[in-house]
Amino acid sequence: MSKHMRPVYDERDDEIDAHSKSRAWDFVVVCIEVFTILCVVKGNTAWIGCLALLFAGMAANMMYRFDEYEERAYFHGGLILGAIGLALLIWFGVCG
Amino acid sequence: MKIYDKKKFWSGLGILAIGILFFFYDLSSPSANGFQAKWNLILGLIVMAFGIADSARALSRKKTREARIEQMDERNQLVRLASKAKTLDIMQVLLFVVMVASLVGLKKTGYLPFAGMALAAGLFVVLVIFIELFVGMYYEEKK
Repeated sequence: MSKHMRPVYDERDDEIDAHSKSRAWDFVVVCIEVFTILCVVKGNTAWIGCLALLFAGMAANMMYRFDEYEERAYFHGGLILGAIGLALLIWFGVCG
Repeated sequence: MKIYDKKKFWSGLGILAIGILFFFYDLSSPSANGFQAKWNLILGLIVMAFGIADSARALSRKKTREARIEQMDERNQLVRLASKAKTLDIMQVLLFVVMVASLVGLKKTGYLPFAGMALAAGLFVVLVIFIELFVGMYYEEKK
């Protein structure tokens, strides 16, 4: 059996999955930030929506950490960031 | 004044510069109303505060040491890794929803910024798929 053939999804695959998604999220954050700056420079109000997505991502990150660490500070931080993201998204949706 | 964490110090200054940009430069259209101008002011102050806090931490030996110990802790590293992975999963769904909502909004109202948002969200959906694929292939080969 070659080294690439693994019939069962095991812990190694979980680890690769987690690593790849973590790195992918880092790249995506950079792309969203660059796009936000481009929208700002071009005068397109889509930067508000992009910023909302960043805040939503940070909120999701905080909530997971609250789940693991069970520290209320993460939960409150996640709520605040989520509220900011939601407010930005609604502002973009309503005002354009 | 000694800089104990150069990376953190310079990233803090970068964030401070972005905050100053928000604070002094009007990012909205020339016909911006008072609310948007006030929002830029508040956002600028918040971002500047984060930048100053980051840079100040980099100048403190005690804080830098604490940050390094926390960063090297295995459980923290594992939680950081898992939380980013979960965040990507959630954001994939959110980006798709935003794309669909923007397209619906564009169809109903005809506002051009919705087109920009739909394009951006659609682009990010595709980007996430490809980045995840390529990074996954990289880690498959590495491990």
